[in-house]
Amino acid sequence: MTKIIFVYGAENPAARKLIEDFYRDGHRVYAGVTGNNKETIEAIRKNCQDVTAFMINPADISSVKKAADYIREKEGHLDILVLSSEKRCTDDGEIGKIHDYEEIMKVYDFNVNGVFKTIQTFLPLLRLGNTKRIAFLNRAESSINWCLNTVNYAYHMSLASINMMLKIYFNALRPEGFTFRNYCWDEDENGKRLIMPARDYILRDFYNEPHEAFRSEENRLVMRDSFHREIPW
Amino acid sequence: MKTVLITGADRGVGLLCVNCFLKDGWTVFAGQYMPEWKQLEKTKALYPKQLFLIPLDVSDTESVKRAYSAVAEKIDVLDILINNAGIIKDDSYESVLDTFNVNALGPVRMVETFLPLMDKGMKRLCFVSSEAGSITAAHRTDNFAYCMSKTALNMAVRLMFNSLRPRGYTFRLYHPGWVKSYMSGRKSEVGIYEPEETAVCAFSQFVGDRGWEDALVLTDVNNVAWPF
Repeated sequence: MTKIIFVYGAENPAARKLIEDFYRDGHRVYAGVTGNNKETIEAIRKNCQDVTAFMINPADISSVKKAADYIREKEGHLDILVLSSEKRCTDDGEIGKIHDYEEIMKVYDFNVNGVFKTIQTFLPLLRLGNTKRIAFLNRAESSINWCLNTVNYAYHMSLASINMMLKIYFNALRPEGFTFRNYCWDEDENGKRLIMPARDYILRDFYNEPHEAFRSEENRLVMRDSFHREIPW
Repeated sequence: MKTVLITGADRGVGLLCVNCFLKDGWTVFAGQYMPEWKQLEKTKALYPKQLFLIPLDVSDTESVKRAYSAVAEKIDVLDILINNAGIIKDDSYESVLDTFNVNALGPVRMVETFLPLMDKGMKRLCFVSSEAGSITAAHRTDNFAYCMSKTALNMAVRLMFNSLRPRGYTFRLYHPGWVKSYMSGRKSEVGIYEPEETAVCAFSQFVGDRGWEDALVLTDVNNVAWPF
């Protein structure tokens, strides 16, 4: 069944690949490109002619609203909202190197408030859809338990905060029938046989699965990677 | 005499921690953000040689630098740094940033600014976090700004832990429980713990040694571990 899908943060490689996968599968796909990335817009226009791409400035909520208004006009609803936010500071080293706190604030605003604004803006459209799904393209290093890194404070703190944001939304929206996908991708996936590629994980309805372990996933927020491993928070 | 710096020491858990350390004979540097609250000055009158009041806004890099200079004028070694300062605000986009700046980035500013004083001391870094930062335990349907800031703090502490534990630093990540706190501007009428109760537990965890320093664990007022 054809889904109406909006992918925010389309300049990120995993999001770009998803757009192409969804498009090839025949879904109606819209792309939000952040960070003034004109090359991504061009690439989407070239490879996926029917995908409408919007340039979105996370600091300016009117640009998010413009995309939502367009999709409302064209489709009347949205089935799946896919989010990705990967901005990092230019120089964000180990503790003690003295960070550029202004830049950390800007990156956090871009990543966290960007996702926050997008979810808030698209919620009314998602409520009108049948699927009501919010997906986030994440990284395993957003796990406070697993993280072995010592650098990139702005990036790590952003991803951890977005995990919390998704949990609060899950608490608020699951009773309305919303479902969530928090998928950790990795550049090393290229060429590997993945047990659960992002496209499959985001589209699959777990409440239809015969196994209770899968079905129960819809009633808790989990973070999984392409090998379907559950990653602790 | 051992030395400790406590941020957000004007009132509540911070102020009561100041008292615990003073009674135990420590030299205490109390970060003062709200000079209009007079309790710190009253305490200073009781402990004139042990307590030093340091103007400090952890969200302001220049203020943190000035605080460092003021402390470094008096001591060569800081044994414990306690990052207690915190705020709670609404869920506007501006508040998301403000809350992050104080609750998560403030401790990063403090740690990296004060590290040069800490390398020869007890090397203990303490952070007052919250169950509100635990994604596993999250039950709220709002309070995005506060919860996200505490999760960001937990992640920042993880990154610091990965860097500094191999250099001999030890970490305390403390959830003070549901305290009748002053974070909203006046003392809350709801809560389970009085600030005095949680401050005594905090003091005990902050100064006590553990046989499991190689694990970063969020512990509460009952010494129970919380998941991230």
